[in-house]
Amino acid sequence: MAAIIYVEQAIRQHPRVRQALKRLNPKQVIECEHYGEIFNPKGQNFRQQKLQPALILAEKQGRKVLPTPEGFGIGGQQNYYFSHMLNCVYDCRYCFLQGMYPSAHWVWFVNYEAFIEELTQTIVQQTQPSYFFSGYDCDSLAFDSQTRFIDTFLPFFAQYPQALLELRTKSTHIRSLLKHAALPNCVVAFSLTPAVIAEQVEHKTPSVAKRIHAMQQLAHQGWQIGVRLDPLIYASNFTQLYQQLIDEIMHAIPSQSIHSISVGPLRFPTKMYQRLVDLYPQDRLLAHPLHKRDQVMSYQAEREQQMVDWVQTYLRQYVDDQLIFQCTPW
Amino acid sequence: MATKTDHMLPPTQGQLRIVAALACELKSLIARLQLSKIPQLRAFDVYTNREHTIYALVSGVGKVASSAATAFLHAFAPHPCPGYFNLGIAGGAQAELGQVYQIGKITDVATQTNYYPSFISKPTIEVASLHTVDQAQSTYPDLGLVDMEASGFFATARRLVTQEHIEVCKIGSDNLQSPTHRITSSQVVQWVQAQWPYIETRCQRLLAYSTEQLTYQTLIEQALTQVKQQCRCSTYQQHQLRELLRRWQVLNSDQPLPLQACTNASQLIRRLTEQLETQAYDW
Ligand code: SF4
Repeated sequence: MAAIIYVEQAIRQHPRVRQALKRLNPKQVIECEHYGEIFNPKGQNFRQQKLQPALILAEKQGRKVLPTPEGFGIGGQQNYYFSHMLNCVYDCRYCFLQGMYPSAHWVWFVNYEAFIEELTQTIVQQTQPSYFFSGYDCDSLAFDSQTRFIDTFLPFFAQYPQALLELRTKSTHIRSLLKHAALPNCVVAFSLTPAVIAEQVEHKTPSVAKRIHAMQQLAHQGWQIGVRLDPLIYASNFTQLYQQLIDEIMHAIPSQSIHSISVGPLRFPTKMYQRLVDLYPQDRLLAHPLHKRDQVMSYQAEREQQMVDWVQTYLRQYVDDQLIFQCTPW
Repeated sequence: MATKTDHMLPPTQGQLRIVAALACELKSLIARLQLSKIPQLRAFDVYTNREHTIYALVSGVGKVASSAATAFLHAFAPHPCPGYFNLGIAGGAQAELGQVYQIGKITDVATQTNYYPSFISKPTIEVASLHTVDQAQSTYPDLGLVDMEASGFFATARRLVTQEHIEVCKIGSDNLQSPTHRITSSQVVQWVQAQWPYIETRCQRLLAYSTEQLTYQTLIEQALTQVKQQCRCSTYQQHQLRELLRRWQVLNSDQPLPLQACTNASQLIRRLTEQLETQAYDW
């Protein structure tokens, strides 16, 4: 658990804060005026903080529901994301959060009611189905034992069948989901890379086998499953590794439970890449042959295309083409 | 004998800089760490060990003095990523005399600026808030401690290194029952001595972290020096080489650099690029 807990003074008496502090029973709580005082200053070492992140309990102000970047989505026309947390308990070396935020501390926004109000407004304004992604700035489920996000937001989305909720995760903490009946407008999307790569790149995450087992349990209970092969990571035996991964997933999950599969190449905005290299100069992934193309670091265009094409072609053996999407947010 | 090239290399050992307002706050630490005074320095009293990996400085009272002392050490003993440790006494309505506190929040009372030190490792003692005031006071805030230096020290150190390199520890010296005029230097020396195990742990951890930060940087610079001994490199080529050598060290650390086959820097850059592009990427 968190080394230190910070709480914004204004929400010290918020019921969710009181419950969390009772549950966590920290030795010390440090009060702050705004989470940004701790989270935003420059000159923090993300890597070092990641070893022992603090937890900051805060109130989300300003806009809470935002349009997703272009290229991020699974077929919907109206795509939004909302983040009840910033940062993640896992530590994937390709994660864009480590290049985006100055701090690795976990920020948990406890004012769920304000999120719900803004989500309602956004949903009722839409004339077409809209998609809401909760795992953009964090893992949707990994911290759920503390945040109880599922228990609040599932019943909310149950009222709006025209709004689809995507929970994106690498977590196997699915107990909170299994407690509920499967929600037809919710996709539980698992991100996966071949096991041998995941072991070296996706630090602190459950093994790929455990993730597939969790997907299987959820599918069995009627939940729609998303498969996120994003990012695709190069290896000399790329096709062999991805073939094995896809076979394992598809043998475990009935095809009618698959909601969508997205495939995304490994890409970093140039500045973010430089930040990651500064943080992890010895990392194997960051020693890969990535090249600058339009302010983005990626594999050579030809290699990237070959990887995406191969995976998409192989997936077509198992699922309809309409379920396969390419995700390229930059 | 040290050569010119040795001086171009970054240091291989970490460095710790300790700042305290009063000589009595440092006295037992100086003895424990076997530091000796650096002669003929006019600005501050500075102590160091034989290896010059630890510097301790008596800043004098007040946040301006503490800030100046911190900046002085930066100029006096250059190092890319030293640890900074502020040790001192502090009062508080609830402060326990002789108790050591790890500081988790510093408020500069005059400017109402808050600072939140990170911790290099989880503190095993009470984490307290600290108010830095400009003038000595006879009253205390309801919660937390009061001193006259920490905000100056922290604000300056934060400009020089990332936050994880900086820690502040205070020892309770006065409270409602035992006001400031009762504090004696000998008592302060005893308090620091009694809290030495904790203080030493934090100092050692900061020093170790400083060393860890250097290791890889040093490897790359050593490899670059090896290249520069063989061929001339423009600044841009050095920049390119640093990145290629970084990747080379990660992927092929067991192989020698293909220096023999290259007569100039452009050739070496081409050769490294080609090999890094076409080699096998196994997991
Ligand atoms: S699980 Fe997702 S959010 Fe968490 S570290 Fe990995 S990539 Fe980032």
